[in-house]
Amino acid sequence: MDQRGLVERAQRGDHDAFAVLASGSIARLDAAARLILRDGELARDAVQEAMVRSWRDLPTLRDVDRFDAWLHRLLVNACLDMMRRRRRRAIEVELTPILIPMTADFTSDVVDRDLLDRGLRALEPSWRAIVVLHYFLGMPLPEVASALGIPLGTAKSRLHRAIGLLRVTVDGDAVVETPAVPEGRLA
Amino acid sequence: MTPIDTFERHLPSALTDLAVPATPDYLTDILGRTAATRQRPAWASIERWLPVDIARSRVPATRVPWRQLGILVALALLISAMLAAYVGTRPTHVPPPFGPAENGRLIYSVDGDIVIRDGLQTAPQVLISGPSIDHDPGYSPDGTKLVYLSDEGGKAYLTSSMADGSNAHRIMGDPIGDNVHVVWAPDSQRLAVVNDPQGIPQLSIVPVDGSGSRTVDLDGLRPTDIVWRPPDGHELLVRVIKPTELRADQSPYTPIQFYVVDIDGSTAPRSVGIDPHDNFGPDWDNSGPDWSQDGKAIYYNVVDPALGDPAGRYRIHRVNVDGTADVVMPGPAPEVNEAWPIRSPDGKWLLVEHWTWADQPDPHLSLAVLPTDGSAPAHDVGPKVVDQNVDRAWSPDGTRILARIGDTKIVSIDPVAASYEEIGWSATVFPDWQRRAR
Repeated sequence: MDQRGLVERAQRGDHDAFAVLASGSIARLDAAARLILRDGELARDAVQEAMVRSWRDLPTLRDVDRFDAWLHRLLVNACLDMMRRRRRRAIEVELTPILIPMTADFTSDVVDRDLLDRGLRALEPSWRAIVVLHYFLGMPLPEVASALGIPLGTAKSRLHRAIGLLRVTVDGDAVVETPAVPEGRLA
Repeated sequence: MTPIDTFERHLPSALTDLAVPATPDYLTDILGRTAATRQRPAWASIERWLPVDIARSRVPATRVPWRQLGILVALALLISAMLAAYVGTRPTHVPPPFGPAENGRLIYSVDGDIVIRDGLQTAPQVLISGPSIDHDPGYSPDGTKLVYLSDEGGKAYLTSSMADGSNAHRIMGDPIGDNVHVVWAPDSQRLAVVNDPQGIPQLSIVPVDGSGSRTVDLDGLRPTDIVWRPPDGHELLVRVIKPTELRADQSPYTPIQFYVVDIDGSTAPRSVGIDPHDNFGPDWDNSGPDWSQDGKAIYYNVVDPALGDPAGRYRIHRVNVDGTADVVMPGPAPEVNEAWPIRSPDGKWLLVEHWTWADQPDPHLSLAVLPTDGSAPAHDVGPKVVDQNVDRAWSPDGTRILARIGDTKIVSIDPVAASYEEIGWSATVFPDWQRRAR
């Protein structure tokens, strides 16, 4: 059965259909949450929160073809909620050894993993969320803006700034701390 | 430093390598929790689609006097018929497509309905309502027609109607994808549309009579922005992302270029030939173009390198349409970005954005106006905002600037005195202002 059919069945209370949907998306959601939160425990909590909410609210989803985008929105909201609730807690270094690829074949010579990790950590969480939603989950920027509840121009300007800062880190230059929000509008 | 477009291209795989997606061991826990959780009924979110203030205005407060109402309706129909017969005998008076016009109605959407106001200070009226979700309306340059998006089956379709909402019909078969760009042609009979229904952007010319759209062959170039060329509107300026090329050092990059496109296809698209300004990446370099009033020059954004700042500085350039005389316009203070020019109706001013980044001192965004002849730098107008987006447009007569600050308020700005006032209402969709004959 295709995803649309599964979503429609899950909307009518078919928990087996929801289990299939959850199984198909949880690896992606878990990875995205770990990238945004940089903390495995928080990521687990955020994914659980998003999944439970998606099951509970699924009957209210009007457009079943937008299930993935809707789920991503729930996840990012859960991630940002986690950050707000746990703001005082020191964020632990995540990436347990078992999750680190043992091979030396990391993407390319262009982007170094450790430097990218450092660059991501230096970003403010909502900026990290934009980078992850757009480049990891492949969401178009209008959808990212909608998921985060910010204007498209703001999403674009934050992405612009975040990429600039990541690039500086990956290239080995000084990391610039990122306070709140830049503005402006991009193409 | 790694070229930005190379960096961006590798980010998805680099993030995947960093995260190592794998099914976590807590899926069973989640399914245990969801199995014990009751679902919300589908109707639980219905209030999202009922605009509260408008819904209230539709509800009669007292018992309806049907007899009197019937007489009034009959009288109204009679008067309408007489007016229609009278108006039908006169030539239609519409404004020219470029230049100042009279300020007409404002139009926007609220929770799936199209709403109008006769002026900035008048009450809203529902123009188009019903079960469909209609949104993002805009008037034609002559003010007689509308185009808007209408959702059906989870997809949005380009729809046109007369300005009073009658004769609504779909004008494009493909649904609207992401990153759509729709611009009315100056003749008010067709639109230029950049759409990416299959993920590949393409430029189409779409007649509003619904007779079918025509794709413009751009020979593999990816269009992003489009602007009709004054004074006759026979050509389009198209911002395109070209196929990847190699720099002298063999590193790949993606050039951005402007093309002038004859929409009737009598001549091949021709490159303006600007410098690629390969400074930040294809989503940002050489962006935001607008024409000069005479159609002989183009104003556009360049991300110029800035010492010690990886994001660079936005500046506005002016270049002749043949690619000559590319000059930077008089800019603001070095730490301030300036971009996104919108030409005033009389062609004498550019409405631009000024902003500083959040990690700079005094982070803010403001609007400014800049003389198109480059005789002076821009002066700020309107409020200075922090952490909010600003949408903006000239009034058709050019005497005001309408700006929406976030979703919370709309201000009317006097571009000469630089003063502004809140208009007392706002909208989640930026209103479009109808042009009328003077």
